[in-house]
Amino acid sequence: MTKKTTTAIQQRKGLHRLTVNAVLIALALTLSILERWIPLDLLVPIPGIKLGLANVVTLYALMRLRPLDAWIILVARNLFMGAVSGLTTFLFSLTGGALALLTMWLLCRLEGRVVSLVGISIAGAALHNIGQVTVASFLLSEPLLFLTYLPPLLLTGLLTGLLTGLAAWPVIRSLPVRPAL
Amino acid sequence: MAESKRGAWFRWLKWGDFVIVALVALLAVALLLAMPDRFGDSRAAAHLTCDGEILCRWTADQLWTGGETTIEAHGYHYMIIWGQGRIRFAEADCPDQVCVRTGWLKSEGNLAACVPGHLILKISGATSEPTEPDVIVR
Repeated sequence: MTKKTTTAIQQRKGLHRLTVNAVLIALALTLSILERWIPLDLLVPIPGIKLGLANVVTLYALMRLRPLDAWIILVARNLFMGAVSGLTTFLFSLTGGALALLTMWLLCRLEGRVVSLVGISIAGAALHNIGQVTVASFLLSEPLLFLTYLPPLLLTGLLTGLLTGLAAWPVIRSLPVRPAL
Repeated sequence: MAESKRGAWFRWLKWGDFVIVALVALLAVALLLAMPDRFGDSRAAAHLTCDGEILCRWTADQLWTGGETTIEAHGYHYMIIWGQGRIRFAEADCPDQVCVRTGWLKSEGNLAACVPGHLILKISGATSEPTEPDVIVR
């Protein structure tokens, strides 16, 4: 294989990776906006409760792409959402998302043997909530926020984590390990 | 992930999943039990802080008398109402609405927070001197 051909293949792979990441960022953003329209707090009156639909995209990226792609998707999604909602919301979401991603990335190595996708998703939801409440507690210098907001969020996170894990399962099962060029 | 697995979803759960659920539930219950006062105090007072500074206070008598006020903090606007020994954020134009959804506060240690506005509305045990609750923070 000539050097020119190798370079062309590398460029094509890079372009392909960029395209896949762009599509996944758009999908994660759409899911984030979509879940704002779902009045979940009317059904479950817990302040700060969210379904975490965008976590399906993060789980897919972790399981089927490279960890770096999952980080790029997370940061890009939070940057776009932060541009709309403000700096505080950006810091809030990014910290929760980063803690969740780190946890899920570590647990992904045990997937299939020790934990399933459902367990990974539940752990991600829990650490997302812990990260967000920690940032809020730090910003407002009020440790009692942990006792007020975290317990109901952790308990409802068991259900929302289960739901997003179940939603991610068929997606991950039916899509290839690395999308074909 | 094992692609060949079929059947109901709970069949492919692993023991680690149950450990994660148990740990999360235990943490939630431990934090719930650590709440300072879950049963209420009829003489509880309240105060509102922004960036750590007290903006206004309500005595226990004021909380029973009832009333409402508007607050502006960090560009967001809030309406706070009180009565029957309780107080809450009734309306706000902040993006996440967590403060409003927290609902009524009536027991010592109860609080409602608004991260975008840097506000904390908190019930305190001691009855304190009232201040005029009509403040603008920029």
